[in-house]
Amino acid sequence: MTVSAPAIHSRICSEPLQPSLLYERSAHPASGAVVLFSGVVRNSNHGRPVDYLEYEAYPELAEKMMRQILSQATERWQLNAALAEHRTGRLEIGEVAVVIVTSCGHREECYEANRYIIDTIKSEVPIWKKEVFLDGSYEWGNHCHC
Amino acid sequence: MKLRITTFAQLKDHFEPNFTLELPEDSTAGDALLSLAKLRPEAEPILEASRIAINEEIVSVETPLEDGQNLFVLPPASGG
Repeated sequence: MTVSAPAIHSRICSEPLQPSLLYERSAHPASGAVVLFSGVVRNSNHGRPVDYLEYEAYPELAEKMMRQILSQATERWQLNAALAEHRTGRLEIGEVAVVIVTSCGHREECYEANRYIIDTIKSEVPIWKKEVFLDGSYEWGNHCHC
Repeated sequence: MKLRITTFAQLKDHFEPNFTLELPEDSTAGDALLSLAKLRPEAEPILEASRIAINEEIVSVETPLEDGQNLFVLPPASGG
């Protein structure tokens, strides 16, 4: 039985994401668990009705840092596959902004790794969310009122 | 020295997306942030929380700058 290297995939793109395709790409015979996280645009934030979101990125660095995060997670939790895609541009309510797929032997590592990846992407990767509310006002993410 | 600055996200409410910044010789990445804050004091809180990337690497504020470099000023991340 040949052992294949873990599959790592990191992409920033402006087209609609396809979570099911990413799921399929994560297939690995040694995996007993696959966890898929999908970050979706919600219709309100802190009680304020949202019209739409806009995501901006420094794409080259964002892809690179996402790949580094995926590699770290792969090593730490012995993943067979770790895939992440983040969309940029205007997103309507219900659209998918980010997908993280982790595939590994057992579900414990899978859940932990997936959680680590999305949390670290949110805090570290140069991607920014602008929320535009129904009243026309907007706010940049992170609740940084600056 | 002259640095080429690229701004993102909420920084573009205060600065052009791309412009040239003149700094004294022996300036650091931190000096660049301070200089930008002097230009636009209302952006100081964001700049204080921002990071600088050069050559697709995030650099520390102590990193010395070189004439002609491209500096990317990154506000706190809010993706995901």
